[in-house]
Amino acid sequence: MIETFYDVMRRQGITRRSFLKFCSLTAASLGLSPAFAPKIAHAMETKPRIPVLWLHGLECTCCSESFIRSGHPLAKDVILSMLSLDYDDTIMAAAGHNAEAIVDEIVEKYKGNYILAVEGNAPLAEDGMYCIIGGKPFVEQLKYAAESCKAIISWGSCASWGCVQAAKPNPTRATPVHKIPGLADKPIIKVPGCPPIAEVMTAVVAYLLTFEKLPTLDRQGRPQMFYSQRIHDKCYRRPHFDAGQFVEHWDDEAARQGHCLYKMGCKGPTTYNACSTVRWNEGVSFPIQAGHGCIGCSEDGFWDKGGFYQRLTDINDFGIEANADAVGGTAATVVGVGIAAHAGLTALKRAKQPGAEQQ
Amino acid sequence: MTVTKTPNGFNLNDAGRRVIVDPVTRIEGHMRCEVNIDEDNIIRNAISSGTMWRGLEVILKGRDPRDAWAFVQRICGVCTGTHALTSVRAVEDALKIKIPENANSIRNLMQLSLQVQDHLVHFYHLHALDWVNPVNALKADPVATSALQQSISPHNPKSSPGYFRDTQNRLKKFVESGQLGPFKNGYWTNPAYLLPPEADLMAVTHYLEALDFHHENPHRFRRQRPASELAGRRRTVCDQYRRRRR
Repeated sequence: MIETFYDVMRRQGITRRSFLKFCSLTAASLGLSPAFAPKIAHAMETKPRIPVLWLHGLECTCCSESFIRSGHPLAKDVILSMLSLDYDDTIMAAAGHNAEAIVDEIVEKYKGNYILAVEGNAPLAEDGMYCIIGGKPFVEQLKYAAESCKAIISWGSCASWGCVQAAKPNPTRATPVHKIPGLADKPIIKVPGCPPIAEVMTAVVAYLLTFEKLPTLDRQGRPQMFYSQRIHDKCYRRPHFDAGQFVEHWDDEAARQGHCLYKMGCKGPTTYNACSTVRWNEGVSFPIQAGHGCIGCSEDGFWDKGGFYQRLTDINDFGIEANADAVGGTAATVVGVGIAAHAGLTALKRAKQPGAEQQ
Repeated sequence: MTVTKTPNGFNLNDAGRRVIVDPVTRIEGHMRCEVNIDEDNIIRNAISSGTMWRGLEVILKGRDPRDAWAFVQRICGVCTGTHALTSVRAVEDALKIKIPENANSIRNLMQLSLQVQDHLVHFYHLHALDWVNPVNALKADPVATSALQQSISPHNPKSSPGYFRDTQNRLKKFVESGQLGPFKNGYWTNPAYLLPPEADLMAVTHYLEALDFHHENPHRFRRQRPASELAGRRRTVCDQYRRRRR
């Protein structure tokens, strides 16, 4: 019999009080009202731990690195008590045949009841020879594990979109999970970002376990609770954008004052992610707070959208992905032009006021 | 017995048993190791090969040098910052850019904080399970473990017998559940694990402590001045590059 999350926590010496506290923190991080805490508690008390196969394709392990830094819930608790992380080649003790045997065992034993987490993606060029695991192309392992899983989590921009290895000219024909031909038709949750925010990753896992269903996804397959707003929408430097106060050089007075980084190439206005609200490392900071523009790492093909220090308007196909739920490319382009005009207008207003410019 | 002379000048003896470890786990990326053992169980030939190639070298060609750091940072997610810093230095070297002392100090701070967390990940979460045996830790005497800890670092407050007993109990129940998670299919009965149970228990406790440390570490920078203030004062490679082009 598989133990429930609550059983495991109790058996490992965690008090009911701490357990309930954990549930309310989880509810908060999922953006749910406090009324959901008992629901989470009930789910954790009655539902068994789900085995997870965490496969690695063409990737850099930054998603795993991010994951182990989660503060709410703690990565330690997720790994020890919430999931049964049976295969993850970054932290698992076994290697070689012993490691590969685990994949077979889980696929057999928990048919249709395990979660497949994919970090990285599969190269399709040369029959998949650019990524070999246990003597076989990664794409085969991926298809095999996907065949009988319950759902697939595409961790990070690699699995979701393709990321750096799929940047032009994509020498290995790296292909994101949902575009792999012949992959079993399973629900896929994309959690893009390079890497995704730790708390977003653990919250997605917690949601899956609690409600036994996928969180509400947007048109592109990302959990709406974390990817429905642009960095720009909740950026603490937004007032400076609206006031037309922009950094023009890295060492000007505006940079010292923490003004808007839009002209330095910040991709915040076209990037859907939770960095400006959840922030990183338990809310310590995020790139814009550290004085560097957003590079747009959670967006499809962000490597090929012009330089990271080029202003957004320079980009020819600007705005194609600007709004995930916008209908068609035309509407999105209008949004893009709108943003540029918006920035221009506020700058103009600013210039009219004598002595307003910082320099 | 067949002995082949390789182009590199080694004698490849594949007479005996061939032992393959693929994938090699707890590393970044993918790796295969292969050894040939002769009749006396002596390794005569060993090959290791990285089994993943993404072509970042190809992808970087023709791109803006200011963006290179972000591409090469993705070589490895465990030591990201090191790759980025090295790339920035290479670009600066090529363009003959001299950076001010402030920029150097900020880079050193970032590099050293990366080193702290990288050492933890590498030492505990990647490497430790090669010589730390969590199953053996169940046999440890918490009192002896406490004494061992105090003999090594007398000022560590987390060294009481009760503390180690709690960890041991949590571990015991985890192992008893039968769902071993990351410890599944380990080589726990192999005699190559040489540590006494007390040392194993201490190391496993530190393994878990290190996981907590990761999310606490960034807070050490919290009380410092906002990074933007510092960042505004540094002339970065981007700005200098732009000036050069004008």
